[in-house]
Amino acid sequence: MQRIIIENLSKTYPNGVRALDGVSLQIPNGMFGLLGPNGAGKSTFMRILATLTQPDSGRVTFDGQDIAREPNWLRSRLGYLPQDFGVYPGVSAEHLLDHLAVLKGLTRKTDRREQVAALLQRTNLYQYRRQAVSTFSGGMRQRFGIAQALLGNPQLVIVDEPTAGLDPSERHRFHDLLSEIGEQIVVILSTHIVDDVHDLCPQMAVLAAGRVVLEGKPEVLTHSLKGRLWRKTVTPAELIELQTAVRVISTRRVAGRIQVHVYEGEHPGEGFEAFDPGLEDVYFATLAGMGRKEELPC
Amino acid sequence: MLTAALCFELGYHFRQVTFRIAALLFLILGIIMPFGSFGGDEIHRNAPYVTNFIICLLALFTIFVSTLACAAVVLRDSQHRMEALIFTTSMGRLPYFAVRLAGLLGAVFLIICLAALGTMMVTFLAPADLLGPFHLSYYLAPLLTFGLPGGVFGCSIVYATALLTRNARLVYTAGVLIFISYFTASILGNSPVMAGSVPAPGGPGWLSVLIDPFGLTAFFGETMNWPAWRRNQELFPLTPIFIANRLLWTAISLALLGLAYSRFQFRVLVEKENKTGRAQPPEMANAIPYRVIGHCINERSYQRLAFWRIFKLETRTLFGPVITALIFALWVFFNAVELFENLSNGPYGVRSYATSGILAEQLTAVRPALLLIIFYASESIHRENTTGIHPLIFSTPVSMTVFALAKCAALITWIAALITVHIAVGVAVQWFSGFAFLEWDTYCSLYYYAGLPLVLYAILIVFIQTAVRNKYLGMLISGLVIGVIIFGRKFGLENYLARFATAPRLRYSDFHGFGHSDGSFGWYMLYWTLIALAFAAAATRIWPGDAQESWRARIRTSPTPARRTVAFIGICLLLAIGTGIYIQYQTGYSAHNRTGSADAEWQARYERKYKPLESQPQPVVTAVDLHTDLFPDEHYYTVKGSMKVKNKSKQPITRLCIGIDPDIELLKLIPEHASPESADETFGQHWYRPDRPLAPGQEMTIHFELRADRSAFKTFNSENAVAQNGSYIELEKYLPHFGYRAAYEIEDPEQRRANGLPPRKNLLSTDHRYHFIHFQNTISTKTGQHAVTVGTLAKSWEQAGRSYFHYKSKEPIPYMFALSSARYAVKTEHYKGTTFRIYHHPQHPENVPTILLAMKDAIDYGNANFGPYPHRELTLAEIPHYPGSATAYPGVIFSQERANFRGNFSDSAGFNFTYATTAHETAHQWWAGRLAAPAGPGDALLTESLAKYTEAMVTEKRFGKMHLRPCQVKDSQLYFAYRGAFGEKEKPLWLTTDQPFVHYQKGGLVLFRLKETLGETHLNRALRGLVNKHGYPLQKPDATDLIDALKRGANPAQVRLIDQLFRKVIVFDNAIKILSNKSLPNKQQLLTLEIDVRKTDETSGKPVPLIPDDSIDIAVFNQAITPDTGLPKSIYLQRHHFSKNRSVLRIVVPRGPVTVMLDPLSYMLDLSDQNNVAVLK
Repeated sequence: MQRIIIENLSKTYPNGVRALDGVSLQIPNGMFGLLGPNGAGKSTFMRILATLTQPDSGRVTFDGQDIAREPNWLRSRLGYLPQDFGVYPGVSAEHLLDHLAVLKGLTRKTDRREQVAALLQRTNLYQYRRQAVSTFSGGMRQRFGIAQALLGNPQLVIVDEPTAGLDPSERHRFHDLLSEIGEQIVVILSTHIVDDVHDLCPQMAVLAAGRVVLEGKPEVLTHSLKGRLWRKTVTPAELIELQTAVRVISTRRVAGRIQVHVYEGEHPGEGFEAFDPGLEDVYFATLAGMGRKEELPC
Repeated sequence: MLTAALCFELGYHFRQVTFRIAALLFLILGIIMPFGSFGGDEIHRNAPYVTNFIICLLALFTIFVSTLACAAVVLRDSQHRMEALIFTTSMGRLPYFAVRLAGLLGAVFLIICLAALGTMMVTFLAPADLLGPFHLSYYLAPLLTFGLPGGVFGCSIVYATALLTRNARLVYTAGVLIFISYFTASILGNSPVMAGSVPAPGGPGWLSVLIDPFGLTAFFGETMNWPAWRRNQELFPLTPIFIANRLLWTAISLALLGLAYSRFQFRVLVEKENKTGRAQPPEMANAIPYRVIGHCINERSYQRLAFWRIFKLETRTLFGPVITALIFALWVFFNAVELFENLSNGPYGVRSYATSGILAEQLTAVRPALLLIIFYASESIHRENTTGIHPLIFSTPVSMTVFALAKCAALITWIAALITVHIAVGVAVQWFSGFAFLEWDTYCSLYYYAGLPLVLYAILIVFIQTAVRNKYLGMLISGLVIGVIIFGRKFGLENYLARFATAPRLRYSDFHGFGHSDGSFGWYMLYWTLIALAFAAAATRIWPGDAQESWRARIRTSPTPARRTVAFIGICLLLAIGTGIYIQYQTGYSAHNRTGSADAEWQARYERKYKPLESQPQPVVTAVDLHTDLFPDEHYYTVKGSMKVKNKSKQPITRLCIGIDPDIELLKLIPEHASPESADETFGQHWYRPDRPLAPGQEMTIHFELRADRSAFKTFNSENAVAQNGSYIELEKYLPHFGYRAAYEIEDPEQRRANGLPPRKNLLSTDHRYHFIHFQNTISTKTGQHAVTVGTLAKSWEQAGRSYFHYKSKEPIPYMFALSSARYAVKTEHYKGTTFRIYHHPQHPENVPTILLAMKDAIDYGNANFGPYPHRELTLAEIPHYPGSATAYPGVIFSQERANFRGNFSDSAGFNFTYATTAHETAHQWWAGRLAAPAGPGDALLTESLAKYTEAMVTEKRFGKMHLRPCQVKDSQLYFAYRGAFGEKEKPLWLTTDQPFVHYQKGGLVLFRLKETLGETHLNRALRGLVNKHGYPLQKPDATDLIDALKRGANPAQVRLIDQLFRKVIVFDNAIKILSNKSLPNKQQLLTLEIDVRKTDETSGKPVPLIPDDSIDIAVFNQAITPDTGLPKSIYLQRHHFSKNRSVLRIVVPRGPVTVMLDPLSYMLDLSDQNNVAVLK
């Protein structure tokens, strides 16, 4: 069942930047990965979903409710972790979490206390709970952000670059937590890390220049590229030559030489070998082929 | 590279909106300010004094510029998280420090220069006759001596704070602190900027000059006594103390910068960790499983709880920082200083009893708190966005209204706390002053009188901040708006209905508390509260939830429909308009109430239209018969009565021109045997034509009925005030009058010019007759109150719940019959055939014996020396408010509550001002009651100067001559201070007019000097002769008659002195020095003194040095002299004659001299009293 229906969302900032340009998406329960390069409009998209920014046109409904008309209805079931946030100076983690819990509508003290303690434990902050959040290091602060996003009974969790600055073990703990809660609710995960989407998200979309350029299930998407991706290790001089001849979707330096991934229906020539595409190749192929979306069979 | 960096830095300053607005503001201020008042007409608009004044004052206000610039520009790296990038560039520590500092100083100094440039514009804008020659030095000198050091000082403090803390909040706090430190310097130094228009006598002491970081005390202290010609020509002199001040503060500024340089860390600062620290053992014993919990945002309890939690967090943040505690501590300190100052700051340094009322009245002034509120409100409103927590907060379902209300509630709590502290200061001051009768209800009423306006202002600031969005711009606009409201009067914005949260001044009296102004205060506050509610509703609607949203978007997208808010705002505004109409209706439209003060334009039109009437003959009143009904609770009175008038001119009168004061409602006006011709309602002029012309010597009767509404909405007039308890009405001013009334004319020459009127001429009246009247008045008032007026109380009775008092004069009296009514206690005493009565507030018995003594002493002295007292009674009644300290009527004295009944004279060694005042007013029973000069120049010499003389003589007889010193020192200081502030050419005593310091202070001292020279007998003989020859009912004397009477029997030197004292303006600047001190045998000592006598004739307005030919007292005491008490017994007192500027004198005194004084009684009119005292080491 699609819980979020986004129709034709557009947003232009007063300075003329067109952040979103006719975005339409349908999102079911479970984790939804949002990929895209810097400046693609991901954060604007998330802010609109979080009711912090109003779109110029288009409509977003959650469980059939128009979120622009009923922002508080949505906010009461929303968990939001923005990419960048600050905190009141000198307020302890426990106190601030409790404060936010009240604002989210947890009026019963015992409930609140239990959930705050649980979240502090799950994010490994319990022993620092009396310390001011403003003195936390980057990773600790990010964990605090995760904890506050899970307060209450969120039906929609929006997390923008949640694992940036976390060490690998914390990242895994977070992924576990998200997967645990992510089955009955909608979790929108915006990230640059393609593998995270691959590991966690049954559904995904790629946003570029304010438009949805790709949408679907990761395994289907990777499967669709099977037999069309080729790689070869070349010198920088050969690369220039190659770029004019075939569709290069990504290059990567390996031990001083360059490994080239090429998207072609047929074998592109000498030295190329076929390989099993990963989600990253889908992503690059999509970005390289922007404007030729129709060629990607999704 | 440095040049490029500096250019970037300055460019960055110039691009700031706040900088541009400030630059424009200072330029405009520079252009406007020279047109303000700088002490009269003769001072050029581009005089060096004026320029210096403006630059000096504006240099102080650059603190705000440096604070804002410092917070926005110097701290830009840490605010915008650029530090890591900047500190890793090739720029070193010193260049970084120097460039930032130079940028700040450059920007601030440029702003002061813009103000100076503005003042130069006056050359093109003012009429040529108001301009002096242009010299660039007039601008450069003040810029270098005041502008630059002041700017450097302000910058050094905020800059050091910025670098050491990298915290914008602390920078603001530092800015506010400097501003407050200026307040201290002003209070301690009695700077005229703070004290208002009344200059403090004697000038500031060296310490207060030294500790004023902006040099204002030095400037005003030095120029206080400057005559107009000096203000027009002289640059501010670099006196040693001023240089010391500049050096001291420049050194302090440099030291601060040095400290900042040595201590500031050229790296990113990390916030300190909490006390609890990081090293807590992990407490993971009982793992709590995470489970989701349902919300309940639709319940009322949710909104309540959210409100409470936001409020709690916000209050904690407002009160939390150490800064707040510091600000409260400073608040306590400055208010305590000011309260103590105010208690001992009565006229002539009289100390008041520390009653709750006097302190509470003073405590209603809380405006400095507005600066703090601007700061705290903007911090509070923008807190979510500046801390960056806004996406977390505003994605919760909390209602923006709840959020805005909680924040406002926290601000209001802060204000309430401030008022509580404020009250605590009052209570503490009262307790320390030993007057422990605490009136808690009076103190608590301050929450209403002082707190409510602050709350309304806070709402206005919140509205501005939400509408403007940019924090700094919002602060600047708030400051501007509040400045315009507070100083609105100066820009001609006078109507209280247009000045936010402002109401007519609150006046306290023990008779009626704040009662008189209370009624109008409540209505004005209702009006402003309704408007503030509309602002509040609008503010919650456009509350800057998330920084990226414009407020238009907020309105569009707010979840609750805008209709309700608009309806709420509409209802508030409608109610406010209704309230405003009610207030305006109650205030009335009379010329005196339209703007809250006399309407100059009305006055000018009156003068132009009716001046020609002056020469037309009109009848004179010979008898007045009145029925006055006073309604204290309803604040009005009615007068029904008749007056008999007589044609005392030599021509028949064909037209009666009867005028009514604009404050009075005329109900009926019926001259007998005359018919109305026309009326001019605007000016209250009514013309009647007698059936037959009123022949010379013929009398007629005029009947009239008046009503005067004196509700609190009317402009307060202490001479026409009806209060629940303690009314005072100078009734003679509000009855119908005949012909032209010169009292309506504008007196201020500047205002006259602005209204196109010629300079005012005060011509000596040719009418030398006394026009005394027969008088009776039946006054009714509220039961329990007693009415006092002139004449004898023939009968009093109660009828229909009101008290009646019938007063009747036994013998003719001058046309003066004020009345008072209050719940009085009375003290009666019969003494040598005269009945003395003192009506006073039942709780003010302390000074009654002194007052009674002074009345008896003065009557005795007058009877013995000037002729018999014409009445059989003398009554004194206490009244709550009066501009002076007391006023005399025939047989009655009205005496002001605070000056005379609340003065604390428990220290018997001090000068008793109440005694002197009472003696002065009693003396007026002769000098006005028995003898008066025709109206015009010099008339006050025969009333006020003679009363001052009598006052001194009565006091001398009672306490001894040496007791007079504190009073005469003050008189001398006030004389010099007022003539400096007046700025116009001083008139000699025999022509005194419009210059009260001439006929009061100088007149008293001059007559005292004559008495010392000619002897008391000679003087009193002359005065008694004058009374016998010119007293009522004979012909009035003028100033020349007095001078002639004094000259009779005087030797040629004395005649010369009399002419000099009365017909010239002569001042001294004398000094005494001890050259040597030798012991002689037979227990004596030889003192060699150097006496410097500088005598200057300023009659023409230009100083002309004179060779002295004067005798001056020298006194030697064997102990140190304390300033505010009389002198002890001298061991040497001798008058010496001086005919040289410098004389060396040898005197032999008994062993043990300590202090040598020149002119110990301070009556020579000596510019400075300080160098007349020499102390032996």
